Amino acid sequence: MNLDDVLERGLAGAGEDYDVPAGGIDRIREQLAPSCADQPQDGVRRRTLRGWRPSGNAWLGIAAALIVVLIAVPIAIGGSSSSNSNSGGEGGAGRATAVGAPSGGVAEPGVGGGTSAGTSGSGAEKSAGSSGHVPVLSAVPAPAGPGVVADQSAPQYATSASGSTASGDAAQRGVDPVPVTTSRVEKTGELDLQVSKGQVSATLSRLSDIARLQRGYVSDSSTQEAGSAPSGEVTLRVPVDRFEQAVHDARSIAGTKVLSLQTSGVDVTSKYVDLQARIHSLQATRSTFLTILAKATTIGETLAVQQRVTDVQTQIEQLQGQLRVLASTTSMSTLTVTVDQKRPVIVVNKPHRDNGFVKAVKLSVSRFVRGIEAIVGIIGPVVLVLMIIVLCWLAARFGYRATRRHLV
Amino acid sequence: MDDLDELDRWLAESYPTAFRTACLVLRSPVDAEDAVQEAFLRVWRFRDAIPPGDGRRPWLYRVVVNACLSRVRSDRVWRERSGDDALVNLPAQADPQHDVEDAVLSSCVASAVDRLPEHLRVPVVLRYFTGLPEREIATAIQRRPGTVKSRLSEARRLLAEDPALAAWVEMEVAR
Repeated sequence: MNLDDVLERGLAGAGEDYDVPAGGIDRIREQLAPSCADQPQDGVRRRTLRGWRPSGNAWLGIAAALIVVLIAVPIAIGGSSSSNSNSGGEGGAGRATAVGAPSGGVAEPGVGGGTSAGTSGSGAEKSAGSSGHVPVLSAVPAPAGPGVVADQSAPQYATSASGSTASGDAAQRGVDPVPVTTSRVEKTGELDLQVSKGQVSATLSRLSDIARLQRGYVSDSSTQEAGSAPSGEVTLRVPVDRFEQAVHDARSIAGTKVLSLQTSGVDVTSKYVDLQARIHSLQATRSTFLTILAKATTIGETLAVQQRVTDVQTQIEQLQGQLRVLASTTSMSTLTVTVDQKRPVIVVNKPHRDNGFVKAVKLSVSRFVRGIEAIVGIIGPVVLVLMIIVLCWLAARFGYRATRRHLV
Repeated sequence: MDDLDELDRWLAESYPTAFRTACLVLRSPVDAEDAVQEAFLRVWRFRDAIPPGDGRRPWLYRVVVNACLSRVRSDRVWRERSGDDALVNLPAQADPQHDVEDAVLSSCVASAVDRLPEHLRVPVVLRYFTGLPEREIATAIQRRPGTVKSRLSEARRLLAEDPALAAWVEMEVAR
């Protein structure tokens, strides 16, 4: 008798030692009776989630499936989200340039935008940085020094519903209504002119005359006289209501050809009114603090209130600066004119030194490099797809085993 | 299988062996009865999937083994029972010498098999108690025949190292 015989005999005895339950098969039949009535004869599987307990392989399958989902979802979403972010970023940049760049202050949504936003922004930067001539509207309060109460000079207050939302905000804050403000529009334009040989300086001079004629001024001017293609650029600041006339005069200069013209107008009325309302509110707050400061009895109270007054005053000055810049850009429009001399067309006949064989070799090398680039570029997606396939296969394998195990 | 009466008879005939196989795997008559009952219910529900001919016996034990392993893994019955519990569950034997030897041999073999890891114990039970050939064991445990062969070989090597079984083999050889 060898080990196999011992095992057979021993296991047979061990198995025989277990008494078979007398009613075991009958209990199964009892359970089968209702199931026979309910169970369709086509063997359709009916299981409940409560009755299913994942085994180890099932957990592995679930984990693999989750990994696949975690990889696939970012890939699926990544492409569209990146394009959205790019487009959104461009739009945001456009708005920031149009509204925020001139003043360096707060850029509000809904203000500005448009295809020529970048142009208007650049023009405003030039005007603010070069001339320093910033007209101040009568409605804009003069900057007040620290600790000094600046009274608003006889503002007119809105009596109609067109007082904008800023009036409502100001009312909620318990301050005076916002003064009535006319429509505020930032107008900018870019004009490219082409002139005949030797006419660049004359055209620039004519443009300066146009600015003066329209009660404006030249905020920036630059010329490039040297070289074979002299050019120049002037930035005209003219009143907003004379912007269209200035553009018409500039493009009507004799001996010039308009290569391109781009104008834009951005309504910043709401931002202007909001700035005014915020300034009013802060001024009211400052007045309150000053009243409290006058009644302060201890040094601690005085210092604390003084600090609050200083903070409010700083905010007021910042907003007043933004308002001033906004008033400047909406009172004076900006027209940037670029003048280029017509360039003669020079046809250069480049000698073809390469013979057919050399060109064929160069073409072959170029295509070889492009082929390598294409292969390298495709390796990444292929590896990714292979990873996904392997993970799917593993998930399917584990899932199949787990399902088979629970099915039968 | 279309004839429900035939299926009923076949299950009734297979019940004792299936129950004892489950007992040897689970080492608990109560859990074995539950596992076999669950397995037979599954067989009845999926009776259309029963392979014809000789393939139905390994298929039945495949269902039984899966039910046993599900109970082992989900209910953790294996952790709750020590090896000695299986021996306690063994009923007492009669007095004759032959029955005593069989009882001792059964105890030795059962305790030795109990000490085998699960992936080796199941093929051993199916091979030496149920009497399934390696190919049918492969069907029952859903592994390749080569895997079954290697597992049985490994199980035999481990069982041969068991002192009690080794003594039994030597004694039988001496006879």
